[in-house]
Amino acid sequence: MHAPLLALLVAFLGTAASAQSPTTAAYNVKATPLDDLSRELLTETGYVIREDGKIWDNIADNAVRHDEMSYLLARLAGARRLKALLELNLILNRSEGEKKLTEAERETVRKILRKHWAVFGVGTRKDFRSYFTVQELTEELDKIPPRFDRGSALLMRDPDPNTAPSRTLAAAPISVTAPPPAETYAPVPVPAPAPEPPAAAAAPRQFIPRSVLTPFLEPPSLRRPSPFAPRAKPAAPPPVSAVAANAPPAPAAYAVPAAPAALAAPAPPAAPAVAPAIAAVLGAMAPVDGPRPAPAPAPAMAAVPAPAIPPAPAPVPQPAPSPVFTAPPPELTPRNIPVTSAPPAPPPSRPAPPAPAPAPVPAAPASAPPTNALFGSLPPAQPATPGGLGTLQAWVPPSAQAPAPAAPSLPPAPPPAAAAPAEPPRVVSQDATQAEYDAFVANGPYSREGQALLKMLAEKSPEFCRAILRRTVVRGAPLIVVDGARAGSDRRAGFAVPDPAHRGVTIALSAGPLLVERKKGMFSKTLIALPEDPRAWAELGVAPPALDALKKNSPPTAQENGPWGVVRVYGDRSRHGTYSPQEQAGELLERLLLLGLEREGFASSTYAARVWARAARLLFSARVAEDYGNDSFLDPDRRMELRDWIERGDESADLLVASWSSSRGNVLDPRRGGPESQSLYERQARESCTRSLLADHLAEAARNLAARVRTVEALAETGLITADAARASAEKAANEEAAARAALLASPPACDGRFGADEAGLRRSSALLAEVSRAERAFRERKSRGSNHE
Amino acid sequence: MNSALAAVLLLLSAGASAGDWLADADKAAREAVIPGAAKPETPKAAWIPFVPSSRLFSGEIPVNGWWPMEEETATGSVFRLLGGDSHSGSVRTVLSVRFYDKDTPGFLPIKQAVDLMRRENKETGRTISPVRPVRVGLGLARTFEIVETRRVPSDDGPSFEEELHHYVAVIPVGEAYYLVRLVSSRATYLDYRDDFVRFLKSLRSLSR
Repeated sequence: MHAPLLALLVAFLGTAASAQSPTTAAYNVKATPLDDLSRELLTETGYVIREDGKIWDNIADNAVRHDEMSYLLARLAGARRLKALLELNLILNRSEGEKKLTEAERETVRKILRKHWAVFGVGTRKDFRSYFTVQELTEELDKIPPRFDRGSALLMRDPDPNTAPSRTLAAAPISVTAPPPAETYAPVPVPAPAPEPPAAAAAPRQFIPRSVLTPFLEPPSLRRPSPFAPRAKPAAPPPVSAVAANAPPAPAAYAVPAAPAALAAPAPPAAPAVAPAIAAVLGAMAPVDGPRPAPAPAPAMAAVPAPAIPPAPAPVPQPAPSPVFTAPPPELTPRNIPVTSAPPAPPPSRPAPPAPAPAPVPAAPASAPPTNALFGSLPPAQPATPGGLGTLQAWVPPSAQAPAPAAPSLPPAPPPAAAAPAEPPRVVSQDATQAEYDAFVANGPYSREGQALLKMLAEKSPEFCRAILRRTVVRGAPLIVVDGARAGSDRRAGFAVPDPAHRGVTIALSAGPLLVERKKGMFSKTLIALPEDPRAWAELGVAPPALDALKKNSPPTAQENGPWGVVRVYGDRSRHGTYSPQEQAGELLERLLLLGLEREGFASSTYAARVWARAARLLFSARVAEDYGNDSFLDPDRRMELRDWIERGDESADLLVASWSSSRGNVLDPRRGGPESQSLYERQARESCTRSLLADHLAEAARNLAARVRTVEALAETGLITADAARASAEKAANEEAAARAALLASPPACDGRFGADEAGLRRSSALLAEVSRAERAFRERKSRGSNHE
Repeated sequence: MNSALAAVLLLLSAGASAGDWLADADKAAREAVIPGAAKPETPKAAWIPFVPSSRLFSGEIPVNGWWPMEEETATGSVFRLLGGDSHSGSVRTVLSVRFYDKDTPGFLPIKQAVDLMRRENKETGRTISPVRPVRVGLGLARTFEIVETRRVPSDDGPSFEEELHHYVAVIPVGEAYYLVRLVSSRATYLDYRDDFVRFLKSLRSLSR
């Protein structure tokens, strides 16, 4: 009896220890392939790449460790660079000056430069460009990306397996998100799940990776967790204290305070506050029991690794009504795992069922747009679907209806007990070619406007994001509507309430900004930009202002052309501007990319995902601006953003962080920072898990109060809402926060120690930031040379 | 009428605006009594010596109400200290440190860089104060202030114009230079002046 337990314990400790320090093992080129430059650097300096994949150091007579590799490659590249510069120095000093080089000397210099170009930095390359013709530079040398050292030689940080040498130290891949997925994701070492007692394995994981300020909260309504994210139910609802018992009832979805019925967004009465959009993620291959256009075979999708399969939802009791938190969303179940085009061979212990019968997914609405945190400030409410909750009403894109060449059946569902998710499951779509994209755009559910925008994106979007853009459009089949009243609190583009008739996410583009003019001081005026969607006002707990521009049939008194496009001016000085198609295309690109990142598991760090998508939008706008010869297609705010980003990138980045880390910005948690520091923070926070969870809950409650009160205060000061309405909204927010605070402090949320985001996901987020850096660096280099092509 | 409303709202939001809401929440969590869990130690000093992992500099940073953050960007490592939220809830105070040398993509010599930063803009009401030299740990800093108006939040509504303030210090180190900037709401910038100056004076170069 004791022996098996002991063996289990030993296995558990061994796995846990190896999971903690996976990088101290020997580097293996089979697991983490090296690029050509890295191989060359190693072999020319006496390292031997053995057949088993280890890299042997003949002097130390030992294998190179994984955590040393980053430093080693940086040092070897530095040594090679130094040697080259010394050789150049010898030649230049020996001659009568750089301008009087003989033909032979010049040729030798060129030879040295050409040989070592890959290890030269940006500045050195610039210094020696004059030795080459334009043709040589553009066709050959400029195509060699500068070597990118992530780690400082002085520091020797742990190398990031996901940005291992093959990815970041030398030749950059086309994109972090680029296909083929198998290649892209293969090097990500997924730590083997530690064996756990059945009870622990079935217990919920106490985090929601899409959180901004509180990524590890249980899924309360306040947090607006990602509907795409796998999440668990809270382990145990905090007991309701006396204070909590007197607290106001739980708010509606996403903590939207009670609003007049006319304003409130439709919400499922008994549905979880935050509905998972697994259905939306899974695409057409998700189990469906509603009507479908055709008995479509599953579209080809790449496999989600078996270890990433989450456990089946454990029979966790539903939390008791809490003053703050609503019921958690359901978990991802194994049968939600996408169909793959090339699934890994199922383990012998999991025999494949003959045919996976489509089955309704319990408690999963037809589709749900992505989170507020990642995708905007206001997630749409989840309406009940005609088919009832839990039924996936899939709209199958035409491409998915075509028989996929290699679309095997759904992989067998793993037994729940065996699944202990190391990371959230990822839906990795098979890549879509440009031809597929074009065909889908032409034949898909898009209006002429939508088609034009998508075509523009195909032509002018930055190279690094095109693959995921195509996949998101073709495999995800999002709908596109031009309707600012469905865009949430986003001023330009947002995610609309799902259309029950379609499975895909609906992206709502605003036709133009809603502006209100107010006097500022004695002589100046200010423009206030307002959201059109009633849900945004419901979230603030106030009715929309009675503006003529908000009324559907109110005729404008004047029309003028200006920086906000064609502006319709109404009697009460409210205005409706117009966004140009080019600007709408940029906003659509950002939304599509965020959607794609979320679908494919790249959004563990909201901040990184937002930075990546924003950079793509800015590069797109920069390219369009260059083609047009000006940036007047952008509205004044976006124009200023683009100019700042190009001319004063540092200042622009600081302003972005200042805005995104504020209570209203709600993208960046100051305590966690970027993905790398977030990972560190989480490891430390795990040691005091309960207190960290408590801190997250308290912070979110306080953030919600601050954001709401300060917004209604500003609205009241400008006379857009009445004082009574502002007071009522502020009182309600303050009461909710006080009740939540008292309840949390009276009985802190229980934590079972499984607190934390998936580290592999955060590593992927780090890779996104590295990719943005490369793209931006290339853009700035080209810009400084007078060319503005990304 | 408006002043009465403002007073009411101020009272209601006293919990969030007495300090920064995040700092307050952190403090409450630190001081909470959790059975079986030891209370975390409160920092003994208000300022502590600090070296970022990028080894960009060494210096002193404030502990309470500030959160350090590092990032690798297209133009090298950036160290940031995130401070308190503004009254509008749309802008958090951010202090950033960068180092520019010839290998930085898009590198501009110090004079051109300062000229670019000091360029005024009518659209945003960007105005610049005169340059004032300040002796700091790294040498002679050129400091100036920028005030401009931005509509924040930039993506969401309701979005209001807000005056922002930048303290900027450019500290030459040979041909290279450090750029230290503190961005905050203009309504609160004076609250951070002493912190900015103290941080600036404690700044030292490590390996440059």
